[in-house]
Parts: sequence; structure tokens; C-alpha cells
Amino acid sequence: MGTAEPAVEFEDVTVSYVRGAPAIKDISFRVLEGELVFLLGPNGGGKTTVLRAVAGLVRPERGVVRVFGVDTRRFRERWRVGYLPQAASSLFEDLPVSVEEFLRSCRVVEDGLDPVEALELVGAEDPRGLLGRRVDSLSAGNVQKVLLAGALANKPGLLLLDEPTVYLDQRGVSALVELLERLRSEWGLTVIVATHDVSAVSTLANRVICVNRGALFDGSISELLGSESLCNIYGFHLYLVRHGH
Amino acid sequence: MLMALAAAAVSGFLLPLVGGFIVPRRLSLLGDSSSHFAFAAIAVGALLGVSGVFLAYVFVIVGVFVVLRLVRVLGVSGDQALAVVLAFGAALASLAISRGARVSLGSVLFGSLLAVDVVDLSAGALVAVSAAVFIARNFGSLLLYTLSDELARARGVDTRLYEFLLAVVAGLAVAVSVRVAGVLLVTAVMVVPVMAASLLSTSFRRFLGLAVLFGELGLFLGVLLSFPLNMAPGASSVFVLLGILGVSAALHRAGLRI
Repeated sequence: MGTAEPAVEFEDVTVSYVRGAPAIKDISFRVLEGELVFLLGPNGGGKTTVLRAVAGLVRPERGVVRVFGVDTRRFRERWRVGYLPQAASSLFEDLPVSVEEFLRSCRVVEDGLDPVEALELVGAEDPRGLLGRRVDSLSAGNVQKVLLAGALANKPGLLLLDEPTVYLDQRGVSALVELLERLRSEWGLTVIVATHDVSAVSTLANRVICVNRGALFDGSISELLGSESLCNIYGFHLYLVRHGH
Repeated sequence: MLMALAAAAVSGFLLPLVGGFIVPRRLSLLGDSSSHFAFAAIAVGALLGVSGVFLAYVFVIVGVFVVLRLVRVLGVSGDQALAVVLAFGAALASLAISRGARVSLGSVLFGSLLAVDVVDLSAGALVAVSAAVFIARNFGSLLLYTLSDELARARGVDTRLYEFLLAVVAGLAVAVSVRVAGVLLVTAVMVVPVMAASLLSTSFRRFLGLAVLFGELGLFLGVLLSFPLNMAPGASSVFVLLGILGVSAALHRAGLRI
């Protein structure tokens, strides 16, 4: 890990959707290749904006965002970044798109995953049976798996997940965590997960960056639990019990 | 009659095919605004003594460009921008007619079997082939764009380009179809088959195929029925299409999926 290159770099980044009201302000941090980092913070704190800036969907008003060493304004190899947006399952409502069509449309590189491989990777039950199903006919948990499979279809080097645990039960969260750990070791995948679910983060011993407009904390989960940062971010005291997984 | 059936074949293919991408993006009004711009072109063409058909192509492309600029620059919603352009097209047509343009309003508004000529048909066939090739070559990117602008952009799809090209193709589809289907009814041929197909389809490809099948069926039967029923082909086509929608809804409730 000591020789790992930065996968993502934020240098004094400010992003505003409305002039004079920055969604994130003067944020700086680095995520090294192979790291699993959680962005934690309240709703509206700017976690999604951080991910959107990495995905090249918003341009910084000030500062620079680099992905694999390239300014996102000039970054062309988008397939190297897998992105699972928030509440993406609603996109399929009333639209007749099959699982296979969606996964094929996500794959743009030759050596990417075919639909069955992608579904097997994310632990979907009966992947072949799922291929012909309409995405909007699946349960919310299965839609989330299909979307995750789509985000992984190009075997990306960087995966961005926005609130991925929303539709998952505890077993689903554990399976997701296991998958991310496996992909980190097998693919060298870098993962950034945005969540406001403090309890989900507390089950993992990884790096956490707390965001509420600015970056208020950057360190391990143990350090976070022992600091006043959670109280500063959420405005009230949180008491967390850590469980093994 | 043969010319009208050939025109029905082109429009029945083209309008639902493009509608399959436009309707889910909630841009159905694009059909109406384009048809009203085509109406303005026909009226202005009649006033100036030039071909309304080719003027319609120019007008709808300008209209589409204005809509997209309104959305991007002023940040207004798509339906607001389309409503503005629709109203402008209608007002322009009204102005041209009040200045002496001789237009058969019944034919223009509700369609006519006699209005189609070889030039219209050739232009329509060219647009249809171009649209089919464009969609076939870019199916995956267009599917992502239809699902979500953000998801598509994150995968590197140039959504602005796709949005513009789709809107232009939709505008041209309306311009080539407006003679047979009529200004007021042409959008129905873009929207109703798509609604019916979405009820019965399990995949996007089948959805597009069914939409085209329903569009062809609606316009063909509409044109054939317009003679014995002595009504405009646009109107008879809409009645047939609404019948198809009703049957599709019943089959959907019965659990049929294709």
C-alpha cells in the first residue's frame, strides 16, 4: 500500500450548483489505489457531490479533481470508473428494459464482464434466469445487484457507490462488504462509498472521510468513534456499537 | 392511394421508433412543437410560393435547437420550452394565413391522402433509414441515455450530442409525417404505439419492435379506413391506435408479456 498511486485527488475543491451556495467547499483529500473509503455525513452534506465530481458529472468551481492522475475535465477513459448513483432503481420504473440489455449497454470494453459473469460476481441468484426479466419487475435488492453488476461490467479500477445499502438487509450489506474486499484484493479496485448510514460504516474497519460541506474528518473508523467529529457533523451525540462481520 | 399507404409505412415505422426514446424521456411534446413548426413552414411556404416540405425540415431543426437552448441556457424544464416553441409555431402559422397564405386547414390539421408526393416519400424513406442505422449503431448508448442522463454521462456517453441528434430525428420524423397524419394528430402516432408496446414488452428491443408494429398497423388501417369512412387519415389512424392501446391494456391486465 505504501507505493500505491493516488486513484483520486481533490485539491481545494469547491463545487456550487447555485452561485454563492457551495455544495462542497475547499475539500482536499487523496484516495490511493486499492483503498476502500467511506464518505460519511448527513443528508445534503455534499457526499453525492464529491462522487459526482469524481465521475466528471459536475465541474469544480475552484480547485482540481484528478482521477488516476488526470484532471476530470480531460479524463476520457470513463469506463475505468464504475458509478452507482443514488436511488438508481427508480430509473427503470415503467421502462421495459431487460437485465441483459442493461448490462450489455454498460459494457464498453472488449475484456469486460458478460452479463452472466457480472451477475455471478455480485452474488445474484440464478443469473441466467434473471437475464430476460424486466428490471422494474425485480425486487429492490435485486435491482441494486443489477445496477452494481452494471457498474462493474467494465472491470473498473475505481468504483463509486452512492448510498448502496439503502435497499439491502443486513445480510445484503455483509455480502456487499465481502464483495468489495474481494475485488480490492483481486482487482486492486479502489472503492469510495457515500453513505449517511453510520451503523453500516461502523461494521467496517476502514478509512472514513466525514463531509458536511467541507471535509471535517479523515481517518480510521476507530479514530472517528473516539473523536468529537461525529457530534460536530451531525449536531448531536451518536453512540455506536461495533459488530464483527 | 398507393402513395398514401407508402407514406403510412414510412411514418408508421419512423414515428414510434423515435418515440421509443423520446416518450420515456418525457419529451412527448417535442412531437407537438415540431408539428406546429411544420405547420408554420407549410403556411409560410404557401405565402412565399416555395415548397413547404423542405421549409418544414429547416423549421423543425431550428425549433428543436431553440428548445434545447432554452432548457440548457435558461434552465427551464423541457415541457415549458416545448410549450413556448409550440405556441410560437402556431402563432407564426396564424400570421402567415392572416397575410394571405392559402392553406387547406382541414388537410393540414388532420392529414390528407392526396398531400403526399414522391419527393415527400423519398425524403421520408431517407430519414427512416438514417434513423434506423443511427439507432442500431448506438443502441447501448441510447438505452443508457433513455434511462438516465447521469448514468450515461458517467459511462462516457456524450448525452448532449445524443439529445440533439434524437431531437432532430424526431423533428424530421414529424415533418415527413405531418402531411398524411396531420398537425394535430401526428404526435399520437409517436406516443400511443409506444404506450401500448411498453405494457406488453419484457425488453427494450421488443418494445421498439412492438411499437413499430402497432404504428404500422395503426397508420395502414387508418389510411385504408379513411376512404370508406370518408374521414381524414390522421383521425382514422388515431381511432385505430387507441383501439390497439385498449386491447394492449386488456392483455396487460391478463398478464400477457412478450
